[in-house]
Amino acid sequence: MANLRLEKVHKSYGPVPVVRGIDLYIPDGEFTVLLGPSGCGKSTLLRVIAGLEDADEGEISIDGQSVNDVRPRDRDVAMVFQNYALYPYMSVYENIAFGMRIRKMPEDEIRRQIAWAAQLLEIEDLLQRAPRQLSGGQRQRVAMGRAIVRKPRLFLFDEPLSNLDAQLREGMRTEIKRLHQALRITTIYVTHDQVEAMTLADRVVLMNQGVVEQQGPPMELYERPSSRFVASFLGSPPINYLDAHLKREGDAVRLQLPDQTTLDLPAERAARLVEVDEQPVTIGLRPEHFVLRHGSQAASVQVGISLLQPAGPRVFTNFEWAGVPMMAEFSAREGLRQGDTLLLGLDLARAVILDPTTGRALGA
Amino acid sequence: MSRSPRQRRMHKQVRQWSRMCIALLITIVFVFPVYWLFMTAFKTPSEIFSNPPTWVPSSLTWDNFAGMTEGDDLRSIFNSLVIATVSTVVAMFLGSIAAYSLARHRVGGDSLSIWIMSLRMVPPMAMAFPLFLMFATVGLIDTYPGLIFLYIAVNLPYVIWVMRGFIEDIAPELEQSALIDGCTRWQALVHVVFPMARAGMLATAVFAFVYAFNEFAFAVVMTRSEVVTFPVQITHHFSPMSAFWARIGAMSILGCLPVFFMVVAMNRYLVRGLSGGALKG
Repeated sequence: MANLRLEKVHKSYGPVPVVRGIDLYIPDGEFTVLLGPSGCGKSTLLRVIAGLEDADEGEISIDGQSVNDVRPRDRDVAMVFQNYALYPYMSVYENIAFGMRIRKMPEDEIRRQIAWAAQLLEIEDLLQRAPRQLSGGQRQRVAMGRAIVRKPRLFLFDEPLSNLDAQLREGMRTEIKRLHQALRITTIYVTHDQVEAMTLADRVVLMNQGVVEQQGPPMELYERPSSRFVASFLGSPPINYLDAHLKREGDAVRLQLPDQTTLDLPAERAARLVEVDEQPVTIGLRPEHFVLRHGSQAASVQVGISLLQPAGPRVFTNFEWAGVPMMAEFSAREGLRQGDTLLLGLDLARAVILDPTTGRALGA
Repeated sequence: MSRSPRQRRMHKQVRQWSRMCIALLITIVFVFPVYWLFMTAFKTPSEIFSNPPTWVPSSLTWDNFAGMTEGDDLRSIFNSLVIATVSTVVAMFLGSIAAYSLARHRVGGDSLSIWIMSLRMVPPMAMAFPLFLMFATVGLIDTYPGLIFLYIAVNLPYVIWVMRGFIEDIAPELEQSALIDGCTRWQALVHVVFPMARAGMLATAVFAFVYAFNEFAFAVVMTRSEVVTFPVQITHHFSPMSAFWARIGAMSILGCLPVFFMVVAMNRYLVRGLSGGALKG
């Protein structure tokens, strides 16, 4: 049980800066996901926390104690690697026992710990097997068993599910969440998969080019992204963008599209934009921000379906609006057909409004 | 023109048989000297020179082996065993940790390891006489440490080069996992890196040992009478007047045995080790 604090952490490989001044506080027991595209520095940051890499600058402290000069073995952390890193020449039992053996734990205590972990992870039948006799999912469980038996202060995961097939990945995701809820060990989990991040995290830290773009609860990042990068990275199918001009008329805020259509922002959304002058903006609309309207109503647009992509309960619908190709998501039960003309309403209260030059969100 | 299946089968069999015959012929040519050496070891001196030669000794005599207990023959095999074993163990230890640091910490960049390998390309005779002078000055001529140092130095580049390839093949996460689990660098090396590289290490060690056990050029320069090694001792049985073939045969057999048993015992690792390192290095 521990909290972790990073202050202005920098790390370069030769002339290439990989982590550029990260400040982060992770409270005790929280599940934090470091999310980002490959090369954003998230794995490097995790390795710096583990002590496998030294930070060039900055302070890393666990429970208020600086660990910059503490060797990995003395940081009391456990790590699960993408390729599991099981020792192939040891049985599953010996693999799990390894860390405790090195730390000279008494044999009966080791046995008790392994029994506890094996039961928790349902790998009791596998203890005498060699790692090569296990499936990917079983190896993953063993790797987690090896990490939990030591009751570490921090639990570090480096893309642990990316070597598993889709179905197994969902099962293990559930397993990891269940494990965290049972043990409440402070966890830092690195992934590039937004679904893993959204489903597992108490808090998502979205990284880009070595810096934190935004951090917070997953739904906050999704609903109120601070920048175009965050808005684009989260969400599948991706968010749609539309150029517009923000205009004020008294208290009301209006968005004027290139085709001269104007959209009135709902009052509560407009209230968040009080400090924004009239200026060009980019509107971000997620696929679920489009609402099907039956019968003519105000504030709706008319579009023709160019393509349908059924995905089980949902159907992804391509169309063009104001000259921009877009994708919306509707219930499959609507029975849409290619070529249909739709009347769409917009959930503008949830729309993301960005400054086109800086890419930062306005009034987020 | 198409051939019937029967003809095709015949053709295939003929081809297979002719291949077998060629292989057999080549084998006979190469194995014959070894066979002759073996047989010579069990012949009486008169039978060795009999004309026509006998293919199988008329009576197996162990006199040639018994004769080795007198003189320095057995002692020279013992000397070779000691020198080869000690130098191999030390070269393996030093070479493996050097290889680890080349492979994992990129010590010296890419050029250092190539430079180390280039040391192995110097002809021994180019080094022999400068080394002789150095050894004479510090009193290492005709001593165990002298030859042991020398063989360590010659084997090290080879061990470092080959072991670097084997260590690079090990996933770094295994070590990192061990470091986080509570190992020091040394413990990670002993508990993870060396066991993972075991096949490669054994294969490398066999080669280093065989080199040190058979080495002649340095040994003949650096020894006088105290620590004469087995390959040098054999030459003592060639005199200007005649060669003691029976004794040479017996010694050669005894000298082959350690290496032979070693290769047999480690056969499994040798094949894996040799092919495992093939793709890297």
